[in-house]
Amino acid sequence: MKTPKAKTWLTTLPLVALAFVVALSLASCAGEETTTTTAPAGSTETTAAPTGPVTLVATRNNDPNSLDPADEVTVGGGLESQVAFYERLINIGDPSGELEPGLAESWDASPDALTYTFKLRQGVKFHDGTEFNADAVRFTWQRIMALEGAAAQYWQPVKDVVVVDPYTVQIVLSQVSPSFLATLAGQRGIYMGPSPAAVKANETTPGDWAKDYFRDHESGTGPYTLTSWTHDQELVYEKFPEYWRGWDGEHVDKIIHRIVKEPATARLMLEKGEVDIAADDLPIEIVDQMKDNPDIVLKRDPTTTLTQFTFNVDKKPTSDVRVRKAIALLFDYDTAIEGSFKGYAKRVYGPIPSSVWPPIPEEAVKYNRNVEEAKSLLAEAGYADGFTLKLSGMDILNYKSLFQILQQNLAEANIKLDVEMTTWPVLFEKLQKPKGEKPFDMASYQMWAAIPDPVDILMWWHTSAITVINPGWGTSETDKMLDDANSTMDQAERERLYSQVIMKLNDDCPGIWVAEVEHVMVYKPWLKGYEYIPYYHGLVNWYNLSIEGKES
Amino acid sequence: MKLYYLIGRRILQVIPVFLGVTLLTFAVSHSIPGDPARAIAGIYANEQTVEAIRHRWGLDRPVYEQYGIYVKGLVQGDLGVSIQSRRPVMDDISDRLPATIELALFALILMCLIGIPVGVVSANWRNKLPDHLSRLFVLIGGAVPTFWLALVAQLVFFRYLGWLPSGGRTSDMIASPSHISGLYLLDSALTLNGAALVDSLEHILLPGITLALAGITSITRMTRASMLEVLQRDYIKAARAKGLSRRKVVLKHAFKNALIPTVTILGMMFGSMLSGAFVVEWIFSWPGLGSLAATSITNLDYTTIMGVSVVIAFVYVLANLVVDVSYMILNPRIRLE
Amino acid sequence: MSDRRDEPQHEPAASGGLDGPLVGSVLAATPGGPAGTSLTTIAEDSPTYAAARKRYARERRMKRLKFSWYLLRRNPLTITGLIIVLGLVLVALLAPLIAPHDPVKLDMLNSLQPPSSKHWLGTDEVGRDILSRIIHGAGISLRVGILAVLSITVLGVPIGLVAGTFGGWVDTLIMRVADIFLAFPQLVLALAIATALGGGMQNVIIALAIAGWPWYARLVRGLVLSVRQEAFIEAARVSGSSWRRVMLRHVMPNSMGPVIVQASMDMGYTILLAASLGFLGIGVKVPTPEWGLMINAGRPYFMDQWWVAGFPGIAILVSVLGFNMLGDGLRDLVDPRSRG
Repeated sequence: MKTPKAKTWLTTLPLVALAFVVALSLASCAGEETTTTTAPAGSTETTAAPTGPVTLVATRNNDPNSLDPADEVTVGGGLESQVAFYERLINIGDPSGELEPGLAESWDASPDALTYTFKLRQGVKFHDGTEFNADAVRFTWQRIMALEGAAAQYWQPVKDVVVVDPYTVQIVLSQVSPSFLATLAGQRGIYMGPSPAAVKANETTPGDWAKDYFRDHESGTGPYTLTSWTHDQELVYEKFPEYWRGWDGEHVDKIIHRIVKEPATARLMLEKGEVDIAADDLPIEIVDQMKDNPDIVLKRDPTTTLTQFTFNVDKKPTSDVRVRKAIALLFDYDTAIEGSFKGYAKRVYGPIPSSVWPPIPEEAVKYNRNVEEAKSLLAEAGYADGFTLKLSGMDILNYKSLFQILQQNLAEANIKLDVEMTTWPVLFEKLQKPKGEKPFDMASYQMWAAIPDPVDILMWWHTSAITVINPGWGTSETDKMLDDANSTMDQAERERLYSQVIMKLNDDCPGIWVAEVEHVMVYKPWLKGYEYIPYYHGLVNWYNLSIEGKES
Repeated sequence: MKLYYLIGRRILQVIPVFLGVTLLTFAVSHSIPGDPARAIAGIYANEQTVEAIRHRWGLDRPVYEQYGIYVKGLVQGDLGVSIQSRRPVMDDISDRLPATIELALFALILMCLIGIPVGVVSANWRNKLPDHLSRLFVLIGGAVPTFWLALVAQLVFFRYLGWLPSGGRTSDMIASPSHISGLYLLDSALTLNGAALVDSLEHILLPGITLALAGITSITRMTRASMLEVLQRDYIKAARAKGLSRRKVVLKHAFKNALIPTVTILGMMFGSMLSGAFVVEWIFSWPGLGSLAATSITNLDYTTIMGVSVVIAFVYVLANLVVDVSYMILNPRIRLE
Repeated sequence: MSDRRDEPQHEPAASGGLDGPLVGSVLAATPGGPAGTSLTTIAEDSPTYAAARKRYARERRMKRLKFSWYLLRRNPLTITGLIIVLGLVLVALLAPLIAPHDPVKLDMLNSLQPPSSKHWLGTDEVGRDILSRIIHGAGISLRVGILAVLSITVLGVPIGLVAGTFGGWVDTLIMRVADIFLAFPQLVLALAIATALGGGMQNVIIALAIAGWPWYARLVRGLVLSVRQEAFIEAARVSGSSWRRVMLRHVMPNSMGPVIVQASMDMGYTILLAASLGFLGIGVKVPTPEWGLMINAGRPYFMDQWWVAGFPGIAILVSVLGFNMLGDGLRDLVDPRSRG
């Protein structure tokens, strides 16, 4: 039995070896061939009108979790790919937060602000060829609610979705929600699809809403369709010929979304021209090293992202407001912005970024480095000899130096800072412990507003968020202000209430607000049409991109 | 008969080890702090959503129940569903396995091509300059931090020389070879796709060499030790006394016999390389099991962490088993014990 | 049993792949031969016997030491290793005296400076002197290495002794548990345990000990099994010594040689493992100048400011190399086969 087996192996081995040799020798001829054929193709592109498909190569740092908009709503988890396939009813058009039509051509609210009526665009097709209409909107809502996936939270205030006619749909709320339209349009907006017909066709068991299928398939109305997905390697999108906006003007025909986990590698590939755009946030340290490279565009835009430290207000010594203030006064903000953020950030004086209303009130307490005052505050609180604090921070590259700056600043007042850096899920488990049980003295993470409304960032100071990320701060008084602000449509009143909350926060100092960071997108000069909208942080509008004047 | 009994007993011994492996992976991965349900839901999710997700993934059940469910699934070849990708862990793993196998095999072959000759040279010129040099080389190979070497390789061969790509498995402009075995080198060779073969080769070279260098130590040491041992055997001495040239004795008689133990440890090296590629895969964006393990750890994807560990442990234990059994068959002395 | 020593690899599972310490080749090593076998002619209770025995032992020891020293000297690699290790220890002890700058003091204005006369190895991303950090890091790596190897030994040796001495189901149970741990590559297991324990130097040492003990348990068990069969143990047993006494007086000392050699060889490997954990962000915390952590911090700058991650890597390489060279030489002393 043994010998024949060995023999077949012995005979196949040389065969395989031979195949290698043949293939390699073919390559040496073919290699020249391919270079000679691709080179002119590239050069004609630059001189004459582009012929053949235009391909864009972008990088991303991980494999998406899921392409199903009902299931995955995070940037980094798949949302940045989903936006190539799926669209929202309304969009945020520019950095000011102005709403503009998407799949809905127009919309209006009832006087009691409980019913929103949307007029849908006609002639929009899903990628499976079926038509997008009011039924599809209702179906999307039903599917998300039935799957109880991550997207269900955004439909929380929605009581019903009513089909009025094929192109008119009403969304009925159970309570007034001043930020509802913004939520619909924002980054974590509500994406329409997959198409009802495709869902029905791909259910493994009737009624499972094809949740398995749509993890790695799609059927949206967006500009691109998914061609292939090789896990941990790349996703390929190709244009959907029947896209309702049409394909006039400059667009790309094919997008290769490469997964490059190592930011330094992504940078090298970009510099060598192997990729056109590094489409997710590269660490600022990496970006900064490309600033002198004429072949790379660094597009800088203000974001709504805050970098902050929060205090555990239930644990000594940070339960003492004087200690918290002293730490806020010890921190060297300017060095942090120059050093950790390499200048790609702006000082912020309160719990809200400057791009979101209301502005931080003039009379609010502001903290700048003042070591003497800090020391006297600490002495007053009885901590002249210092103490040890535990900081749990998020493992972001530039936070490492940020924490070390704080460490050094605090040492001036004999405060020892133990720094522990973890990934988000691990940090999160600590943050969401109930009041009084949080296992840290200070925490650090970033926070952003994904809709042009303060509710998105100030709601975390509500006591109901203590089991989420609020470090234990808040009273029934501040809760009431936040609740009231979120249940009235009176803009002036909301502004007044939110300003009061900000005043309170600055006064009580449950956190140190360090900076609002800039978003820097890096790409090749031949890439055109990129625009950053803060509320779509991390998402690229693939349809608007084009490649012009790329040399091969 | 005795041999079969011994082999049978050795195979049976694997079962409790496997059970222990699942228990250990389960215990360790569940003591990693973190809340996977929250990780799925995202920071903005409210308590209800998180609760619903927790329930859906069975994360709200008692730990022993979760373990029971896990083992039950395992027996049926079901590693559970990835918290991160929501796909069966088995699918995620089998998608990445070919890439890792290809890299490990490539590195293994490199290791043999370099390690065995160096070991022979070392043994043949024992305590002379070639021996010292080769031992130094091997010692350096065992002392260099793999993660650092990977970075240096990128710096030199990509950044400065520009000879090789920095990472990934293929270039965008060259289509992946048609899928036969999933090993791109083999597939492109079999389909006589020269361009793809060159491309695959270029991509695998840096991670392959990096990975190989770390393992050369064992191979060379083993070859050297068994060569020395064989060279002292009586039949070798007899062959020399008979007047055969030293060269002939070394290459023809000693080498062949000395190779057996070296080959047997290759099986185990392969098992350990499946995971040794961990950091290398990460740095070179190699879409394999190591990358999957790394992401699942950062994302607290328990089921994938467990799945990958169990699969790696499985391969490891199996490789050990094969080595032990083949040893029993090859070596009559052990059989007799 | 004795013929096993002719097989350099008779315990293939223990001979270690990429991840395991190289136990197999040492496993077969003969512990120093039992003393006193040639003295049977003198009556055992006479004072002459005791004196002669003492003198004989001393002479023997001296001879062996001299021979060992000769063997050590003969191999330039071993001497180099010794010099490196001694140098490392010296640097670690004198770190505060010889480091030109404060290893943890930030100087943001001077970040990422290339090597110069002021900063011989340049500065890192927050302006600290890399040379000073490497010098201070030597102590950390040494401490982690020593403590981890010590913990592994303390954990693994007794377990191996118990398994080997008692045999039977105790042995089977212990060895199966060891198999379970051995089924995981050491780095992966240490990584998972350290993560579960929450990182930090102490937890890294614990994790390394948990991941590493089975290698020593197996090694010691093998040694015990072979020693058990030796004539003098049999004799001791027959003469009525308790197992405890036999174990402590005879088995332990005879097993120590290979264990010490193995430990010295594993020092380098353990330092490397600890550095890998540091690189993966699990070891010690900022601003501690741990070498692996320094490479991690310098990784994003590597393509332009290669010195930030480059020099700590060389520091690891040289130290581990030193330990490996020394360990290799020591093994030659104990393992006559590879000596030649």
